[in-house]
Order: sequence, then C-alpha cells, then structure tokens
Amino acid sequence: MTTETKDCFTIDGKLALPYQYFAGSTGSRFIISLREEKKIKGLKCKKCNKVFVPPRSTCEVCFEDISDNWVELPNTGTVTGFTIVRYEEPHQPLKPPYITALVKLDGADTPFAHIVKGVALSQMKTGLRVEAVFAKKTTATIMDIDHFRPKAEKPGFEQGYTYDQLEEGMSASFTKTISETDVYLFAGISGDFNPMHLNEEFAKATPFGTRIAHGALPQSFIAPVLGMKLPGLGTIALEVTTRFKAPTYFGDTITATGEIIEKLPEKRWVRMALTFTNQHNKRVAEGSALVMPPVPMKSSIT
Amino acid sequence: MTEKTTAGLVADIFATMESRVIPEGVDGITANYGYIITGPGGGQWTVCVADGRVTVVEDLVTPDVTTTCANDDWIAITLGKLDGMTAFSSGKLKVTGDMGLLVAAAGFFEKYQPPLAEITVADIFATMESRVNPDGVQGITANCGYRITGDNGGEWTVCVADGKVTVLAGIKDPDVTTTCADTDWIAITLGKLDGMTAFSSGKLKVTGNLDILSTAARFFKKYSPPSAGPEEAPEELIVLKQVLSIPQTFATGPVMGHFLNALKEKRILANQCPECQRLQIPPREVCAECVVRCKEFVQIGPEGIISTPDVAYYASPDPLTGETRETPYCSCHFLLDGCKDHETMWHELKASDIPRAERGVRVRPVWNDTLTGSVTDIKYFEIIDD
Amino acid sequence: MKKNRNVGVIGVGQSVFSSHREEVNQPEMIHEAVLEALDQAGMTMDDIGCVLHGNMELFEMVHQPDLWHTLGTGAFGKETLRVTTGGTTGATLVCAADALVASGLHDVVMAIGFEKLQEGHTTGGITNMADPLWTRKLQTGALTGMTATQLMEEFGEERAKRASMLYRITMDHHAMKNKKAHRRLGLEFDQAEDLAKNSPPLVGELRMIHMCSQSDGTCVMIFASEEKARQHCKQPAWIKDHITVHREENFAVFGDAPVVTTHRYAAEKLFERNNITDPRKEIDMMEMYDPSSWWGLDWLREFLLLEGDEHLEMVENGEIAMDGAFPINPSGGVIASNPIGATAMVRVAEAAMQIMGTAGDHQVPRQVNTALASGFGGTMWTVLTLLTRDLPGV
Repeated sequence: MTTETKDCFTIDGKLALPYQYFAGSTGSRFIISLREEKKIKGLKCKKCNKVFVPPRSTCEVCFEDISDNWVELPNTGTVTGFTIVRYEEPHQPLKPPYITALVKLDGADTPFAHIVKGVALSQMKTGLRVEAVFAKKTTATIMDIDHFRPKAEKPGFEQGYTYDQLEEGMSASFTKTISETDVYLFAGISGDFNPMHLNEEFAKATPFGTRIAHGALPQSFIAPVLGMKLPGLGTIALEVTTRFKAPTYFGDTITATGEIIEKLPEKRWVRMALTFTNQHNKRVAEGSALVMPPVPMKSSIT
Repeated sequence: MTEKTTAGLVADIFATMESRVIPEGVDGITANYGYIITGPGGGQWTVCVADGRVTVVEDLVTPDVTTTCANDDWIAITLGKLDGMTAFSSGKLKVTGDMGLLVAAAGFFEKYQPPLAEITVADIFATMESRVNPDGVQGITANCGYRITGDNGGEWTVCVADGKVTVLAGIKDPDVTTTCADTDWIAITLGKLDGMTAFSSGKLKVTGNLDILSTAARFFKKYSPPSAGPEEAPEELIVLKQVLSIPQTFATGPVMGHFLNALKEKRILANQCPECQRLQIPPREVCAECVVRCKEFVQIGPEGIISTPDVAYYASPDPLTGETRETPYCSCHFLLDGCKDHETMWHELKASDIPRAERGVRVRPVWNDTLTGSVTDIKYFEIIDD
Repeated sequence: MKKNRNVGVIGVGQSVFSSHREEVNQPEMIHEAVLEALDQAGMTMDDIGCVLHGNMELFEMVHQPDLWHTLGTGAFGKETLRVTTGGTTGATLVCAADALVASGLHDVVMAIGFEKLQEGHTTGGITNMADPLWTRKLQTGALTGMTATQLMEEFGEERAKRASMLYRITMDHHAMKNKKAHRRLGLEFDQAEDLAKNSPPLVGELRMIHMCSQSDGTCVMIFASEEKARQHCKQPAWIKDHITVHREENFAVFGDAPVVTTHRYAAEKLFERNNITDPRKEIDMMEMYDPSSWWGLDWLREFLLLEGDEHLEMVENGEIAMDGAFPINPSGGVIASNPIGATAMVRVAEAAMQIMGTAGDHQVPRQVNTALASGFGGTMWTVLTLLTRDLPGV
C-alpha cells in the first residue's frame, strides 16, 4: 500500500505541565544538610554495610529499613565513570562541552551523577580524585553541590620547598635583559638619579664610557629566585649580601642564581650562595643569602 | 475552649490579619474577601486586598467572594486543625462568588498565633529551679533578692550554692536586691526588654553587690511561657517544583492532513464509512466498527446545532503552554448540517454564549484571521441570532 | 476463561491514602504497602517470583518509575514488568498477575499499583491522552457534566440530583468506616439538598462534592498458585474470571458517544460465560470504579444489567449501603480515595478482602461468596474481575 502524501504535514506542539516532587523525610534531611551545613550525608545498611549516597531509606538488597543510620561523608571522592556532553539541548545544566561524571565519595558505595569542572576535557579520566564545590546560592536540590573539581593533593596554597625538602646543591635562577626603561624606572623607584646611570654625555667621561645600570638592579633579580623558585613561595629572606664585581650595561642579560650551600637545622634556615652573571658568562656580582623556607600549612583548598 | 475565649479569637484572627500580611502573597491581587462567621463571637468582615496591602473592615463591603462558616470551624481552619478543603467539601464552609480568588488567599498571611495564656511573675520564679543552667551557677554562692512591685508582684530570694538553686518566698539575707515592676520583670524575662536598658533607665533598681547580677543572666535556661508548650518546629520537607516542557512535532498523516488542510479554506470535512455510511469528524482512516477503509470525504456544516454543551468551571492547564485556562469555558459537541445522530464535532462555544447554551440552538464557526490547518483555525462556534 | 491452574489473592497492603504524602518519596510510599502485603501473606521477598509495577503514564512527570522504585518494591534481581493502561492500570495489573500465576510461569507474584497525584497534574496529564491534533485543545481533563445532563433529562432534574447525592453520602458513610480512606467528610443525608445546590460546579452539574479525590497512595496484592495459596492463607480470594473491553472512539473521548458502553458489554460477556443470570442475587457485593457519584449512579445500571430506573431505586432504597441487599464500595470507593494507578487495584483488593474477611470495620455483615470489581479508564475501557470464596473449577 502506498500512502498519498500530498496532504501530510506536521504541527508543532508542546507538553508543558507543572509538577512537584516530594523528597520525603529521608531525602529532605539529605538536602537540608547540604544546604545548611554543606555536608554530604548518607545512609548505611546495618546488615550489608552498604553506604547509600544520596541516601535511601531502604537497602534494596537486604530490604531493611536503614533510615535512621546516618553517616557523614567527606567531600572527596573518585570518578568511577564519565562522559563529555558535546551536543546542546535547552534543558542542559551547562553550555556544552561539559563533563558529567559518576562520583563515588570516599566511604560511599553508590556513585552518583554530577558535574566535574576544572579539568581539561582531554585530561579527564576515570579514577580522578575530586572534591565537592558547594554552590554559593542554595536551590535546595542536589545542585547545592555546584560541581566537583579535581582534588589538589598538595596544600591548597602553592608553596615552595620546605626545609625538609631542601638539599644542599639545589639551585635555581632567573634571567632578564636590562633595558633602558628598567634603569630609568629603577632610578625613579630608588631616587638615585646619579648621572652615571641617566646622562650619556656625563657617562662618556667616566671609566665605563657609557651609562651603566644601578648595582642594586641586577642584584634585585635574586628576589624572584628566592621568593618564587628556591625555596620558593612563602620564603622569608633574612639577609642578602652582595659584592659587585663588574658593571652591567644597558641591554645586558643578567642571570641571578641561588644555590643551597648550608642547612641550619637548629633554626631550620638555609644559607645560599648567590651569583649574578651576564650574557658573556661574566660574573657581575656574587654574595650570599640567609632565608627561612616556607613552613608547611594545614589548610587545603579553601 | 470556653465561649468567651472563642468569641475573642475570631475577632483577634481578623484584627491581626493586617500585621500578618505576606507581601509576596498579596502582590498583584485586587479583591475583597467577605467573611460571614456565624455563632457566638461571629460577625462579618471584609478583607480588602489592593496594591500589595490588606485592610480589614468589620462589615461586608462589596465582596468579590464570600465565605460563610461557623465560628468554631473558622478557628479550627485558621489554627490548621481542620483542613479548609475538607471543610469546604463537607459543606462546613460555604463560598459564593469568585472561587478562584480563594486559592490565592492561602498565601496571604503568616500563621496565626493565638494569644498566650497569662504570664505571671509567680510562674517565672516557680519554674526557676527547673530551668537551672548548671554551667551558669557553677562556683557561685549568692542570695539574690527580688522585690517585684505591682498587682502581680511579690518578693523572692534566689539562693545559689554548690551548683544548685533554691527559690524562697520573701527576701532572705540577700547579697543583692533587685526592685522592678511586674510588667517590666515579665518583659525582661521574655527578652522583650533588655535588662541593662531597664537598669539604665531606672526601671530596675539594684542595691547590694552588682557584680553578682552580671553573672545571674546565665543562671537559667530560657523561660517558656505557660501553654505555649515546648515549640517543636515541624520537620521541613523539601518539595521540588518544576514545569515539564517538552517540544513536540506531530505528523498529521494523509487523512487528518486532508481534513486540516481543508480548514485553511474554511471547509469542514467528514469521511464516510462505505458500509455503515456513518460520518467521522474528524475523519479517520478506517471505520473501526466495520473495519473498512474510509476514502470518501464529504463537506459538512459549517453551520449546525448544539448537541451537548459541557461548561467547565474548573481551571485546568493548557498542555501547550502550561498556563491555566480561563474559566468558564464551554467544551461542546456540535451537530453540523449534513450530519445525524452521534456524528458530532467537538469544539468550543464562545464564552459569552454560555448562558444560552442549549441543545438544538443554531451555531456557526468563527474563523481565525490566520488559518494554519489546525484545531485553532476555528476560534469557536457562536450562537446565530435570529 | 480458560485457566491452567487456580490463582488466589493471599495478601493485600495499602498505604494510607491522602492528599499529601510529602514525608515519603515515591519508593518509600510504595514500600509501606509492600511490607503490609508481605506481612499479611506471611511471606518475605524471597517468596516472590515476579514484581509487577504500574501507574499512570507520566502523571508524576518522571519516566521509568519501575526502575528507580526498586528500592521500595523489593524487585532487586527479580523479573519486573511495568503495566500502564490508564485508569484501568490497577485492574490490568491484576489480570497480568493472574495470567503469570495461572500459566505456571510464576508461583507467587506481587503486583503494585501506586500514584502520587499531588506531585503531578492530574487534569493536565489526562488531557495529554487526547489526540494532539484535535481534542487535546478541547479536553476538560477527566471531568464532564454530560452524564449528569443525560440523567437529569432521563429521570427529571430533582430525582437525578437527589439520587446522585444519596449515592455520594452513602459512599462517605462507608469511607468513615475505612481508616485508610482519603476523604472522610462525615456527611449526613440531610445535607443532600444543600450540597447539590451549593457545592461548587466543576463542569455542568458535576460539582466538587460529586467528584473523586486526587490522592497519593499505593496498593499491593500478592497472588499465589492454589498450592502456595493454601500453604499461606486460610481463606484466599480466588480469581474466577476477568474481562477487559476496549472501544474505539478515541476522538470524542467523553463526548456525545454512542450509547453502547463497554461496562454493559463486559458485564454481559462475563456473566454469560460464568452462568450468572441474575447478578444482583448471584453476586454478593461490588467494588466499583466510580470516578464521580453521577457515574457511580449511572454505571450501576450498566454493570448489573438493570432496566429503567432500577439503579435509582437501589440507591434510594439503601440497597447499596454496607448492610443493604447489594453493598457497593464498602471501602468508600473512588470518590473517597483515588491514587489512580492504584485505584482499580484497590477495587479488586477490597473485594478480595471482603471474601477473605479482612476488611475490618468496613467488612459487610453478610458472608461474601462472590464479589465483583470494576476498573475504568482511558477512552471508556472496562476491566471486570470476578472473585469467589470457593475454589473455582479449572
């Protein structure tokens, strides 16, 4: 049989109806604890020890009422499966692409679906350690957990090497080309308007024959080494001494290097040898520093 | 409940309405709600809602909807002891006028709290021993005298020693004595008047060791007035409210498509069973009773008569929009010219014609300005005036 | 009906029926009734071979409830089938359970009908049953005043209105004796005239007082083979026969439809094949799916194959009361409690309870040997179930 199609067409329609869902006593306690305490709670079966998150009032295997056996879970867990949503639909919670993943909280037996953010799509993997990030604004739903993000296994603040991590011989350096602008800005910062640094005609009459940088300018390049590299973030400099050995000309590329030469166990400080070399590997300055490496912090991601 | 207190309560319910208004609840509503409360203590009130405000008038003033109810039932409903819907269904609560307005009224007011039983100074002292805060009296040995003036007053001594409290009538060897009027003392106890403010303003006078009094604030747990009972907050239950909204596309198929396309030309078609000869409106591929294909189309109407009118007062949502339909509307079966018996077509009757909706009245379709080949190409049918 | 072996109802569980069950979610509400039914049957989930699950399609706006209700149903690891046939869902669940046990596929089957109408939108949901190209725009949910109009035309306005109110008040008297019923209003006969006049109109002369409730609730029944039933239950309610009849007018759903009803058609067929010639005498009581007191009144005539005004007389003479000659809905019926997916099953369950003698305060005084239960739904479909106290011959 063939269908005569000349009269066939389509009509757009919609199914739009209001509804509500009762979470019930058990579901409400779970949501309220998310909302009020930012805590994730589950229910544990006393018989088989299975921990349900989100909670269920009945263990479906043992068929036991478990609704009074609450357990509190950490905000951390492991991704047991994930998918990357790449198509767009109006009802989606986020603009694609985004990651939906099954997250099994530490201590729970039931993974639940949520969103993972803060990891490159190509880096997403099963087994990723994640932690819950709570929503700023509550909706009294599971979205009071806004998303999960990769759990930083290091302390929350990035920190340099602690005393215990440092070894003699460890070194780090910082390199930068000194421009005319650097010198003029440094003159402004320090107030040292010595014509030796700023007046080319005057400088021609000096033994150097041209303008040179302030000695403290290349010397300051040790600050990024100590403060950001070795020992790194969190370091407190206690003493820096420098001997100037050669001039630094405009356009020179200076490398400041620090090396651990001594650990002082009593104070838990370290002494470092400092060298400053130019592009010709000529030492323009040398010295030493005494620093207090960063102290380990308790706090994790805040 | 005695007749006297009942009488007071009905008036109090209305008297406290203005102070219990929930602004979001009354937002955008303009209506007068009349109440006729029968029985002792009853009366007539009108709750006028307009511009986000509520005014309660002790009379019936041009109500849009009027509720009639016995005093005891009205109190029970207000206190949540009787379900309003049950009272309504069982005829205990009667409504005339625009029913729909009452649905909104449920969100107008904060919960009514009946006035508390009288609080006495004696009760405050009598309950002290049971309200001792062990941490607060730890290590303190002192006698605090209280001289409460006024009709309700009296003299007491609160003796603290060895972590225990004994309250004695009369002033006995006080280390510190507080003098205060009964009403102020009640207000301080309920936390409505700050003790320090009362002291500064001279409402509360102290003789003796002032330092002891500063520790006295921690002697006792909070005083709960009699009959208010231990207020247990009801368990909060989470309800998620959503609107399901799914876009759809429906295929007409050749037979319905033919019928709908004809509407674009303001023609109404039926198809006819070749065996039993009955007409189907809208047409269907087969006659299900004879189980044969129906290929013949005939044009019917467009005028006809009302067969069975059905006036809906109950507002249901239009599934196309999720919006509540306006009521009343008249869903109606029409017997169009050229049809017989049960060969009716289902559509709507014009709302203003509802009072005249009767079997046999002649009608004609009113077509929409734009014709798209859908049920809405006919706006409705209207009664043909002679 | 040809049966391979006999099937008995050995356990019934019902949650409390109420307009609001915010304190439990769907699987939790189901669980209440599951535990009660298991308890009554003296069984555990280990005894159950198959779980049937049913409710109205999309009434709670959630898909695949049978899957995520496993927590409450106990269906973990068991064969589970979902049935959804509209208002008749509960009755169809009984048919399916009967077929599964009678066929020998399973010895014990648990059937679950549930609904949480407060979560969804009943009228809106029913409206979605209509043809989207034509009648969805016109449908007034499950509400229609046409039956009222027709009865008033046939028997006069005054008598028809009075009879429908008498029916309504009788049902409330019954509901007052059933603690699980949702609407127990405490109506008295002297209120009839006032209510018929002052209850708010919904559609035409169908007023709020006539119409069934919208309830949350669950019904669970346990069906067993003859052998198992005898082991677990002193007096099972045996399923003698059931019949399902559909019709074809899916366009003019509740409209100006031909007068042959599926109710009368189904009753005629069922009685004929069970040699019932005088149903009022040979059947002891009925649990009827009465969505409104107008329909309840009208359908008496159809189910009991009455003529003229016999059905009005039955109501007027008090015959349908619990202690009357032919009790209708000792449970209070659908007007009192209506969790739709469970409603048609509640009819069979309540009829079975009358036979088993477990109806408690609403047990009819006479011994019930034969009971009839009806289901109604969709585009005027009927399911009738016939239950007996004595073992039917296979």
